[in-house]
Amino acid sequence: MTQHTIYQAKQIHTMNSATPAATHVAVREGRILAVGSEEEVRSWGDAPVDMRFADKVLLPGFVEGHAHLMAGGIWSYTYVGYHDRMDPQGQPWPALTDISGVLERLREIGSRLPPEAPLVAWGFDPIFLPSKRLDRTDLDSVSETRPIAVMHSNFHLMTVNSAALKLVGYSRDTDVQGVHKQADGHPSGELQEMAAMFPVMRRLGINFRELGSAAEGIRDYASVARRCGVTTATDLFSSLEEEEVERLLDLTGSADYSLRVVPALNALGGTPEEIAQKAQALRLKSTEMLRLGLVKVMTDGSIQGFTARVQWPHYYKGPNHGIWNLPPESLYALTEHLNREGIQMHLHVNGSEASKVTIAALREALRKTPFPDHRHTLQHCQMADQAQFRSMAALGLCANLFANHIYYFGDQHRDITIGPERAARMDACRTALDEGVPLAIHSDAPVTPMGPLFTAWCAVHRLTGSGKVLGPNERISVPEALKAITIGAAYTLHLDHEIGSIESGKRADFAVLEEDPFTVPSETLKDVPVWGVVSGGRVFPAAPE
Amino acid sequence: MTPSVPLTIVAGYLGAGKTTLVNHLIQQVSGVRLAVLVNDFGALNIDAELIASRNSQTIQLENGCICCSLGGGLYDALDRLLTHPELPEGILIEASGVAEPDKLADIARAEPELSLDAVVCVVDAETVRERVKDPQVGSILRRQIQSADLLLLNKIDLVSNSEKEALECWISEQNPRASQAQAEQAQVPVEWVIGAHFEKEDPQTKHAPKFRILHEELFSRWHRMEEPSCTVAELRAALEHLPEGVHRLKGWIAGSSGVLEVQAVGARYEIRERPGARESSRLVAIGPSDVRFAERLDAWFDKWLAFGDQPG
Repeated sequence: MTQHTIYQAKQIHTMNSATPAATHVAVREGRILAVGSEEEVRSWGDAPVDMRFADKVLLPGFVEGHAHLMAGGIWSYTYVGYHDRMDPQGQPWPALTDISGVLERLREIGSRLPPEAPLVAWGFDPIFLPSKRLDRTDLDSVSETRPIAVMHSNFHLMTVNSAALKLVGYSRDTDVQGVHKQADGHPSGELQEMAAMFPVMRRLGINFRELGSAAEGIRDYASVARRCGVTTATDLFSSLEEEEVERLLDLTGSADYSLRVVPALNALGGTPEEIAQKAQALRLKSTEMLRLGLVKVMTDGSIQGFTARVQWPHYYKGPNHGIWNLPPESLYALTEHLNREGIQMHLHVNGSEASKVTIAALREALRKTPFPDHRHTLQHCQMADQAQFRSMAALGLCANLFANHIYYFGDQHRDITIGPERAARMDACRTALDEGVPLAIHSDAPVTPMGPLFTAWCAVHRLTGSGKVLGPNERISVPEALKAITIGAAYTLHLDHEIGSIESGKRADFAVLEEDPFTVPSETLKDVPVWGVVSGGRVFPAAPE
Repeated sequence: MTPSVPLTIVAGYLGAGKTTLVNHLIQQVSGVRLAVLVNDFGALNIDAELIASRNSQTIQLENGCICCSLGGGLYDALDRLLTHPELPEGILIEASGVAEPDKLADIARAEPELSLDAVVCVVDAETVRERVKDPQVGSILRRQIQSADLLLLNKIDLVSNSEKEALECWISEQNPRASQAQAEQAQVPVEWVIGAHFEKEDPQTKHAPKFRILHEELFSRWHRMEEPSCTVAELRAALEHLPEGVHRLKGWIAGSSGVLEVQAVGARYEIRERPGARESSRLVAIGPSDVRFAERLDAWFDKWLAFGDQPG
């Protein structure tokens, strides 16, 4: 019989209600042999006690139910955001709180590049720097010859310098909606949406899909994840071409890879029949560390971009540019087919009309073909009201709510996009739980940074960037939030029998924390330091020794 | 700089007949290396003997046409086409049923290696007026109609004559700029939809490809070769007064310091100045079936562009 290892911890929170707390856990062959007191665990046979976690707190490895592999690859560009971040190599990137700071960082990075090489930055967030809009003249002060592109944090906008404008021939004669102009008619340097950004992107070699599928990005994604205690993360929108799947199988299978990756196939890349066949074929390729077979359905746009489908009375202040990514009729046909084929769907719904139509489509699909324990999950689902949650509960749908949005965009939603009342019940975690809808919460990294403890903090406090509470009645407790980032998220991925709690038989996936998130003042939940993770019994410190 | 590749967008709601149109086009194209980007690969219906080769992402046809799946994303597909050593002579995108063609047209306006040929919107003549009342997709449908240069009222055989008239009026109200054509089973000449095809035809020859005959009762052609010369302003004035109903017009006119290339689709036109001289000016147009079409265009030409008695 293989030898097992016993880890002693200051505290183990199992997230299993039968044995919620423990001090020792025994691991054998990558799985949890036993958890409990020292005596209980030792009763399985004597084994060396590993004391390295004796002053640490263990929770189940966190599960990020909605993020993107691009969160790793994006670090090949220069981070210029408003918040402190740490790159996959563990280098801190301090927050830049004004434009001059952004320019200074660009100058510094530029000084290390060949003179003509393009400089690409990401994470810029003008919401937090309202005094002045970044424009080409700012960036020209960094370089007049090197093309520079600063991607905004939402990835729907970028600001470029004159050298980049020249490269694509944008001038006062350019008649493209997304090429923003100054009062004098010249392009300001701000480019909005893909049509306007595409010419710059292809000339500067920026390709979102490659960022999410190149080997380095896949490795970096695991580093990003283990820094915040995550042992299982989705890649919730992927075309999963053969070559990419092979690369994922290869990399996730290596002994030094700490993350279980759960990609979801883009369902808009073919007919429902083709997608179903592809998903079923992919499912068979699943391994311990790569779980294939999920499908992602994009329905509408984003609320802050005014492209979400929002029900009457629509947007609060601002235009209604609501879009569908597929016609509602096609959504009905697609969900009907995938449901009939027994394929679990994750459906992107931001606005209330998108969630309403999607719930209705799933109701039809489930009426035609009952699918017990389907766990179809509405992703984001930011504007669902109580009635929609009641329907979701009745249909057995799960919700993965975008708690981070409250902090990053909550002020905007209250003041501009949807107004105070509807903003107060955005990402309604309390209502979801009260109505009996299985709940997960997420970051959508790289849109907002991956960090389940931060995401939990958002759901617990609902504080916006300006420090106001947005909808106090939708707050949830710390234990509820911690459940949502562990067993709750695992449930939405149909993996709750394997991960999400620390109990005998499950994978030995732990988040190793320096403090106890259950007992620290809840205001500091987001600040609990993460030492690293244990993934399938393998120990991975966040910062490699 | 590389010459730009004209991009044609075929938009329209579900069931309007976009795929029927695309199937028709790719089999009828001749002499133009056309790349067609489609959402639904499985819906293509191509005669086996026309297929030269195929893989999961592309189908190469014997006639030079290549069909590409949009499964990997529109921008990736466009980037691949534009970086390929052998550039296509035209690109056609079959937009999804809820796409906003204006946004797709912006891609061609923004990318220097592309130029906008036309936004063609296929409309289901039978159901469109009911469809626009749909709270979930009505506004999108309206925007599709409003941003078109060319509107194809498809399935016209399914509506009565009185309905047809009401529909024409309603469509004109929605989009007075666009030229309208009508069809059954999306049977229209390739050159009507694809500028690159129209471009290829030599206006000097009155050659009648098979569609001419096929669609004679639905479309008229006109061409003119003379020796006028004019300024950009004069040409612009002429184009502002183009007779109603002209679907496409293209050609060149000798300018004071070079050649003025002109291309008009619906009410939208473009004039480009090129250095160099041509022997004579040539214009060719396609419009609705009308015995007086040539006459009307001749009258227009004589009024606005025949400057024989003026200093060149």
